[in-house]
Amino acid sequence: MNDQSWMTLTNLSLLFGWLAVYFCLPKRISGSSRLIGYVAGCIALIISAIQIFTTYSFNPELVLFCVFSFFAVVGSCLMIVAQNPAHGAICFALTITSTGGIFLLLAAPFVMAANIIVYAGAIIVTFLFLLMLVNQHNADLADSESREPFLASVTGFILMGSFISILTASFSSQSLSGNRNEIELIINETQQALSITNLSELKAKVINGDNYVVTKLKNALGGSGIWVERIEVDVQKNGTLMINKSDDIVEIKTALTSLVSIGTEYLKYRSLLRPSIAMVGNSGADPSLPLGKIRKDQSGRPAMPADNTTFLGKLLFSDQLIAVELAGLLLLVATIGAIVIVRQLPTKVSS
Amino acid sequence: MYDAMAYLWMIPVIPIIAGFITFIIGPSLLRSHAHLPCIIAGLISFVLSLFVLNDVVKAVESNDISNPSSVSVSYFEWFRTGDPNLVGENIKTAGSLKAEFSLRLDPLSSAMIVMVTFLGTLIAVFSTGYMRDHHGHIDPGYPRFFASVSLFLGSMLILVLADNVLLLYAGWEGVGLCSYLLIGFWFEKPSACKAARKAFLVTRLGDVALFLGFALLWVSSGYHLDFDGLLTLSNYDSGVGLACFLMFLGACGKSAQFPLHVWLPDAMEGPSPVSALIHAATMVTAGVYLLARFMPLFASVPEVQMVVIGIGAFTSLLAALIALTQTDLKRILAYSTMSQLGYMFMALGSGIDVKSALPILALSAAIFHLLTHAFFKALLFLSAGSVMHSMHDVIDLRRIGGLRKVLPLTHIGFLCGALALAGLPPFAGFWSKDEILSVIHETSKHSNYPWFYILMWATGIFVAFLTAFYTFRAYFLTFWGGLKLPEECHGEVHESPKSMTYPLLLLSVFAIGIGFALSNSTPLSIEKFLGKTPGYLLLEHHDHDWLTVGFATASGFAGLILAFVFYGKGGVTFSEQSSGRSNFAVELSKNKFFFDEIYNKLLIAPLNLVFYCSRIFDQYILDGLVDLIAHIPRMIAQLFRPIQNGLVQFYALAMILAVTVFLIALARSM
Amino acid sequence: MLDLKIYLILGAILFCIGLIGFVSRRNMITMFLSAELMLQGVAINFLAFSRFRGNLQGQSFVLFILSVAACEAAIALALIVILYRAKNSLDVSKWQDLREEDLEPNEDQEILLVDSYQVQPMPTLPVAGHRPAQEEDASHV
Repeated sequence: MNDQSWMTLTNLSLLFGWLAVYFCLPKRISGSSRLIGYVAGCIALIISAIQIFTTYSFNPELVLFCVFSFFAVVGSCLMIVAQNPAHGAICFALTITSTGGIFLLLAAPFVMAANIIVYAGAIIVTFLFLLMLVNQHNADLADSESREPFLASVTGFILMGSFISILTASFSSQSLSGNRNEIELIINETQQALSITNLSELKAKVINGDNYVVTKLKNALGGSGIWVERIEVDVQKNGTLMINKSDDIVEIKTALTSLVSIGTEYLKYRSLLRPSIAMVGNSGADPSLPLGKIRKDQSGRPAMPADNTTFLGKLLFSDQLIAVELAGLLLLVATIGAIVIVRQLPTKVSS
Repeated sequence: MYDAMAYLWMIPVIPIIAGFITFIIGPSLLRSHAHLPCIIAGLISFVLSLFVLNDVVKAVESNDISNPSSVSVSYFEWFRTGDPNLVGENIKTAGSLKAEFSLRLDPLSSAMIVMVTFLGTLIAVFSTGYMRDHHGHIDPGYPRFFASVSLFLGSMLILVLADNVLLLYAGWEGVGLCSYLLIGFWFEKPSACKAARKAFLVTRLGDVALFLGFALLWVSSGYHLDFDGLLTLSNYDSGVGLACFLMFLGACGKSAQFPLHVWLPDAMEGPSPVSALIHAATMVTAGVYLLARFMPLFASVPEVQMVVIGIGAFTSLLAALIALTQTDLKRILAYSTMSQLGYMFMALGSGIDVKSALPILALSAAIFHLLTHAFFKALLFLSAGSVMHSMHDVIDLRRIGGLRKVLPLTHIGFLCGALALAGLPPFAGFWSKDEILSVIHETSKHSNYPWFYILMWATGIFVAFLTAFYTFRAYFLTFWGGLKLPEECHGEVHESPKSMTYPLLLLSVFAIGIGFALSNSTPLSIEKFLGKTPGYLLLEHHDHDWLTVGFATASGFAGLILAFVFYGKGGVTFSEQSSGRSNFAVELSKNKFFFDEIYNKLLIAPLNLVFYCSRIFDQYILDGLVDLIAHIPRMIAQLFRPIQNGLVQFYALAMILAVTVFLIALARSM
Repeated sequence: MLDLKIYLILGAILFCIGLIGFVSRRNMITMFLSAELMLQGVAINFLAFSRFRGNLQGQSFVLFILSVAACEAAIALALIVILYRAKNSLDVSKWQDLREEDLEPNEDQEILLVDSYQVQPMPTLPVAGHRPAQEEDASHV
């Protein structure tokens, strides 16, 4: 599936998703609108499923992802449209457990456990207690009427669409997937070649069978994407000017200079994204490593530390120690603050 | 002479410093001793002035080229504008102005400073008694009073001693300010506030004309500011006449001459010592001093001089006629001041021929009368103040009378002053008044319009008669007849304290003797003294004009006798007379010839209309425009204000919308 | 094989749904849950990046998000309790005192509940140690 049809289907599913959310949001006059919303939601989910199953090859991970994300999305949608906050809280618990599955898929078992304990365990239960504490016997007007349902849902879905389109655009170009060390090597080689004055010697240096610099740089940059396009436009003049076919030394050298400048620019742009803080190394692969240098597992994806909890603990208590302490302090302060806030009020209310 | 210049600057500066000291520490530290800085500074200035006068007299007598009788010294550069690189003569171009703090010492200024410092000190001493009530408690504004008096003295001395017109103008405005402060001294009284404002605004009219005159002089004299340059006639091609006329208008404002005379009677709202010092002896004579200072210029334009003498005579006559029927003692004295100032202007206006001795004769006659008048009028005002003090601020002639017995010292002072004012021999006014009248008589022989000057002379004689009459009318009504006390006194009358009566007696001596002492017959002759001023022809001997002397003396005595006939029995018959003989002339005089009313109708009412229209324009058109401009942002804001509806979700929605817009822009660019 | 993109998209979807809930729902508790949902979306993002970079930085960050969310929950619950006590309602629209001075408050009209759905009463906590009344129980879900 190419980007074009992917985005078309995405827009379609977003439209139905919007219809679903808009019709399901509590409004003054509901009527049968909820039913419309449910139908639209089903359509949107079906379209999304088609997208996913046509894009990715069928395997157990895909199935698991689809199941978990289905429950997460449906649970969250039900949460925001629920008229009864207690129902909403239950739906939220469903969402949390589903995202827990997603966390597992992302090789984060400890975070999954912590998430479920904190959210589904602590926060949701606290909320349910609170709901009973405030003792809201009758349905409140606030629950049966949304504020600006149209504007809010339109805005939310436009934001969602722009997120997805940006993600699609950036992943299709594979803009920064080049091999840094290889590019540096090629640039050095080309700069050496520029100092040669003899035409045949230069050609021999630059075009040496499979050692043709332009092709090498293109491969090093990932074979496609905007950087390769720039080489095709600037250096090869869309194929009309080929270094290997020209006999004019000046022309060849101009082309080589622009080749060097494109490579240098790529490295400079890339270095902006490179983290500069050296870590102890408990967190796995060095973030400064290029993707190509990262150790891969059998499925071809970067390998994660096998013992997640151990390594996460080492990381937290070495690199992130101060942050951990501060987070603990924050929790303490929040606890005291919550107690103080609630304790102060009765005097104020009675007065 | 040059030795004197070393400390001449201290004479004006010391009172100014004393004034500021009193302003700063007076209310908190000095309190009932707040008069000390003023009196001490006045005394120091007076002693220094005597030394200065001594030097000038020596210089005048020596006739030595190396010891000139007129010296000016620049102490420091006051300010300069224009190109700072210009020096010397080059600076005297339009756009470049260099003013220096330079003082000038010559017979005229030395005589003036002695008079000013002497009277200032004496009146300050008098005020220490006057500004307390009968139990010795000081007035709440006691320090303010003496601070203002000190500042006034300093400003007046700067005015007199200044050697360039800008410094003179500064002193001129300084005395105007102090006059304003002191007239409105009791600012709780609405009438005092009104009078102060009136005085300030009316004199301001004259000041504007004066400044224009100075500017015209500066331009037409080839950009001179100092008197040496300004008084040299060869510097001018044209413009002298207009400049002199403008300066005369300024002098009219300050010296209360028609048509700017209306402020002086109202200025009597101030404390009596202030009336004596500022509105009789010193500040109001600044106009006379100014014209005397510029006499060489005025003498070269006889047309302006005819205006000067005409206005002087008219004011003199007008004021004397008004004074005839007034019932307020201080008002009578105020009108008599106007009248005498008119006399001085008559004298100044008779100096018409540059080539002759007339200018110096006129000048010395005017200054002579200025000096004698300062003494006897200060005496009269202080006596009136003493009466007022004893009568609990009542000086209405209809309510008091026969005070001769209860206020003996005040009576002597007032009598001496009245005799001097009436011009009876041998008191001070006689000598100076005769000088003036003889100068006018002399001028009529040299002028192209002899009949005009004869008319002026006759007016002078008639005014002398009126002066004697109204002065003694006031005197008889106050001091003769049966004892009549206002109810405010509760039947108890005390003579004023010694701090008030001693200055009175001292001034009485001067009122009797100064006229003779400064007359032609003595070595102290003011005429010979001033005659040595450089720039004037040396004085040729001239005899007494016996015709004038005879007429003036006769009219003086006639006025006195007439007043005795009408009012000798005191104020008992006064009310009958005034009610019985009510006719148009008396009404005219009583209501001061309706000048205030005429000004109100002719000047103030149209101006009020203009002001009203401007206010409407400002309020509804200008303010409306401004409000309109102010409303535009408000109206635009009105469109967006509902955004702030207090709903937190609405704010979140707005934030998300903005983020979405940015994201879409980003997505499109990829 | 699933790639990074699909996980990021899932995170974005959860985030935006939470956003819609936060903006449109008026019950303070639902709003709070929506905010937590947004945090879940962000957490999926972090974990996906962590997975596809092959290190644990993202996971540790999610742990911090968890602790901050717990603090937030504590404070928010306390605030909701006192806000409820002040106005006796969980409606966030009752609190609009920060609006422009002369604006009318955004009053929501009482609506006639349409019969198409049953209004569900809230569950209530029975008094400890006593058997709850039978008919009250029946009305509960």
